[in-house]
Amino acid sequence: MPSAITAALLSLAITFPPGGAPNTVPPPDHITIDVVTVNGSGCPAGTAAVAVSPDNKAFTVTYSDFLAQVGIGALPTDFRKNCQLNLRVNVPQGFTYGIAQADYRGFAHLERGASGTERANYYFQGMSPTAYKSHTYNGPFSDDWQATDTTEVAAIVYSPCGERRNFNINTELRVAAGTSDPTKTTSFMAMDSTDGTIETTYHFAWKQCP
Amino acid sequence: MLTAMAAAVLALSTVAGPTADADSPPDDRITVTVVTVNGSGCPAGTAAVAPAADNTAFTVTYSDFLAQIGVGAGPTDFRKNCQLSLRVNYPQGFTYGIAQADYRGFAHLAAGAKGTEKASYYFSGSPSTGASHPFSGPLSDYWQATDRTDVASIVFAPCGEQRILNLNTELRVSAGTSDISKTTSFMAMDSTDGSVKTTFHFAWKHCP
Repeated sequence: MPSAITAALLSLAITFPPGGAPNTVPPPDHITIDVVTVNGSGCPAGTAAVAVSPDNKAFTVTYSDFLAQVGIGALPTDFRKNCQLNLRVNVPQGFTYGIAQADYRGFAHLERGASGTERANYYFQGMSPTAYKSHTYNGPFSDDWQATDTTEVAAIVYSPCGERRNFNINTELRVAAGTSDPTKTTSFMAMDSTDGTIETTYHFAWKQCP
Repeated sequence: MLTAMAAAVLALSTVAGPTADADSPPDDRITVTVVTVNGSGCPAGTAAVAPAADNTAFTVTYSDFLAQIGVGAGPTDFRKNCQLSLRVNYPQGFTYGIAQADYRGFAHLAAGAKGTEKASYYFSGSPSTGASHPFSGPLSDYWQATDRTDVASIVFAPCGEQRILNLNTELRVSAGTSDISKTTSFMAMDSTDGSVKTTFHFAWKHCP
């Protein structure tokens, strides 16, 4: 266990910055999430819907127009679309250990030779380091796709009312014609939904935030 | 460049422009809030602002901040901008910190084409300083650029001081030796993140 925690702290996509993340109300003893903004070329205003669970441990974002495409009917800039989620992650004071997961679901129609990629960039507001995970699908393919990113979350928050930074997930869909013929075919990749969950497995508090 | 920016900020800090806001006494660190977002790359309805709970950072995301040339592009599409007006709150006393801006996006540049991310910083009524980050084709990937500068201020006003900092970001794409009759080159910005970290603060007296 200690070595696992150390590994998580060292390697992790999600290790909270010193001072930790944030709350406007005294936090519970587990990590919770609020979705602050949803925006991007794949989810302009009015095209994304956010549903947050009552306990703030999970959320679902659904999209009506998050589609990247190449070939007939596609503009030259349509091969790449993104949607960025800004999340307020509320971490209780003390040491917290948990599992964060993101599920991406959608549909892809890829001609033989074409490929599509779902990629998510993860970073903290105000911090340059950016972590990412990507999932690639190769044509011929015309079916639903699903990708899951899982990461351990370790946070040590010493100052309950210290620095507060939001977490960003920038999701991207990219389609490449590859050896397919874009003058005769259309290949596309669409995202239907993004689900995020965070499960706190261990929490040790020093003291309560006043 | 950074020294130029630092110099500008330092020089500015000596300019007296007390616009203290007694209604919201600042705490012992620098904070920043986004007042307006507008430009050809971020017309109304296309940008979203997510402030940090303690106002030491913010994220602006864009749905349509893209400069392009070539097939499908209009003649004026090669340059797009987005200007952020930020309210910077300085506590009373001497404050020293670091301001940082992170720009993230995607670029697809044909061989020979060039793209530039440029940011100009100025306090209202003062000259601007800037930083630019060039990218060259062939490129079809994420790009990220960071500007960082020291911030020092001496504020005698007992309730601190507020200044408007303008941050004009710009994306520009040029054809170079690429063939714009056959290719499209573009550069898009996904997000701008700003943050201020106060490393040292010495107060003469507390704001009542």
